[in-house]
Amino acid sequence: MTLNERLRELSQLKATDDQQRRIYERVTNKRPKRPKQWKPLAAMCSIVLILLFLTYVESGEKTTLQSDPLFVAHMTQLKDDFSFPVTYYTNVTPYELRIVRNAIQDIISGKREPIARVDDDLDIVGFEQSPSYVYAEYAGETYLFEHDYMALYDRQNDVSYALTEDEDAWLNAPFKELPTYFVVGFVVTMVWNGALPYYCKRTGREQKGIKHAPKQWQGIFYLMMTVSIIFMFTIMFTEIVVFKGYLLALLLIDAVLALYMGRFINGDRFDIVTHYISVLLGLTMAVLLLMQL
Amino acid sequence: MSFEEQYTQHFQAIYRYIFYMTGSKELAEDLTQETFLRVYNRGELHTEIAYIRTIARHLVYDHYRKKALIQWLPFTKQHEQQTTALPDLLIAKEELRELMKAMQQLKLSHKEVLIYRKIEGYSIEETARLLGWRTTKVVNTQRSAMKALQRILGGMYDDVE
Repeated sequence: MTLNERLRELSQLKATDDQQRRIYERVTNKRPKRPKQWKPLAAMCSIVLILLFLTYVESGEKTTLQSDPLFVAHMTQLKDDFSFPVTYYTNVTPYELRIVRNAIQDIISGKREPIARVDDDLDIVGFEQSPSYVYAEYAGETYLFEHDYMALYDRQNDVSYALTEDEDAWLNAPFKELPTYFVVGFVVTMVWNGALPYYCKRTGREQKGIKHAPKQWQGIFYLMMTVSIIFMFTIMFTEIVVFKGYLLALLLIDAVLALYMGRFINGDRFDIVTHYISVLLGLTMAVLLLMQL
Repeated sequence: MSFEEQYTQHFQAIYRYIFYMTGSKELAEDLTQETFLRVYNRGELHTEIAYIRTIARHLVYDHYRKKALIQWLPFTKQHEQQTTALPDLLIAKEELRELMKAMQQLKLSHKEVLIYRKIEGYSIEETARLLGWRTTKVVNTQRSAMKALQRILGGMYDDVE
């Protein structure tokens, strides 16, 4: 058979009588079309919300410590206790402010001793936006110190105090909320996956595996999983503490992706494993953090 | 002619055109419905098939335009199109299924000219009128479309004009 004849055969294609009748009824009754897809919209909204949240966490509202009444009160007490003028920081994020408050409260309540970090003639002149670095001046030279951003300088006695240790610094930051995020994420994912068969049955949709998902999503999904695993192992086996919001962003995006990809799962073993690995990654992370807190 | 008669007369041709243009049964239903809804709302009783075809054509092009805009976010039901249920004719014949798949890889203009010329059997002049093209453009596009289709099919047929 020639290609022309084969193409001509396609003209035999017909919609069923049922389709024809259904569409006619919809047209004449002006009924709406098939229900609109709400999931893409929901996914888009989730991503936007997460981005907004991250913007707030990362660079969000800047607060000046001096204007915070609680901080000023604590500092007054500290001054009385230690009798030293304090180099204030300006423009800190809410999380950093919380760390400072916690550290000061710990010192006042006697839970924690201030640690003398730097001796003589050092003046802390400021700190970079990254929470792990402080610039200090010594004999006209500027030095970059790590982990000292909680340091206070006693000009009278030429002693600097570090109010907190570096591990605490990052663990007290956004990670305190991580378990909540993941518990919520996990529950939502589970509920969604439980509802998936019902959703497919109701909408007459075929359930397919992740490999049937759009190619871009597959690529992003596997890439994110790989990066998450690398991050997790890096944190487990090193003491790198500079990730903060980036890790949070990664895991949240990962969770959203896992949620979205859930719609393609159909019982294929590989798909289920990859999907749940990403959810479990979040949980493992949360447990690890909980153990360290 | 009442709307019902018009609908009965032209429904299959419009549905077929949209189905071959989009490759999706669900989308074909939606766009066919939208096409006839516009005809219905217009309220004219003597609507020509050419006019209905033009509406359908614009709706298909609109669909692809929107799809192109948001292609970076694959929310255009791409997976749903892949998993769409096929009409009986395509289920029954694997060769037709392959041909249909190959057609979906063609450019819109190629698809369109093949639908009018080869599937619906319109003459060159009629096709030119429906598409608003010159006859030479119809002939040239048809030739390129057939070659492209043959190439996608891997030389299964050798009657390319």
